[in-house]
Amino acid sequence: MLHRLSSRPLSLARAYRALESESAGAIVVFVGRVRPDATGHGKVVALDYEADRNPALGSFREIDRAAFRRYPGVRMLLWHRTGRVPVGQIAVIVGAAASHRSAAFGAARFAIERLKVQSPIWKSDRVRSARPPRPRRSRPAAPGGG
Amino acid sequence: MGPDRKGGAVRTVRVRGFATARAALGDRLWELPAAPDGVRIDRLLARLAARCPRLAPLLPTCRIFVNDEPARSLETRVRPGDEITLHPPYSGG
Repeated sequence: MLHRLSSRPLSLARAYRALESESAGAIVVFVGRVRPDATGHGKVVALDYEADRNPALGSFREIDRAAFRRYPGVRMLLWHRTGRVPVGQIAVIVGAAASHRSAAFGAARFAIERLKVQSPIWKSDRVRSARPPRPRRSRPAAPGGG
Repeated sequence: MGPDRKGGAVRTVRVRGFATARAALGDRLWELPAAPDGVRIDRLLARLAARCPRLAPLLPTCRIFVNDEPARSLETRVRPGDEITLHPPYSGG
């Protein structure tokens, strides 16, 4: 499947296999991962992604068609995660298979830039608070202790 | 809350939002009464913004979808049974 929204982890190996074909002399795969950015509220530990499913998949088809018009013969893959994606996991995979590298690089770059502005997908940060832990209270002495 | 029905006919337009628009709608799906011949999208959303004050400043930034398709214009009429979806600026990837 070349257009996909999934709440399950995305596999780079599967994406590559989906793009492989005898005529694909060049395959470019872009992977977007969640970064542990620092925010004013703390450090990002995950991103929550939500998508308006049907319009999002429709936008993937539109991007695919637009890439094909610019780079005839290119075969595109657009996969995006939904739900909570922890730091280090893959949030998005965009791939392009073509006869030659210039079309594959161009189409992959074109598609990820389009996806970011054209696909109804939203992310929100999940952060771990930067506040230092509160000092522990000293325990009262056990009765009869000592 | 199910759609408002009378004699089996749906009499409402549903409105839902994503991300900041969902929060502005109070994290709920709205069902707004509409006449059988429909109501303009901009008028329906103005009614909703009067009830959800956080929505008004957000609306100019939103793309509007009707039944999963982009609305051609805010003057388009929606009819009972239709669903409007509010898309604030996208941030995928």
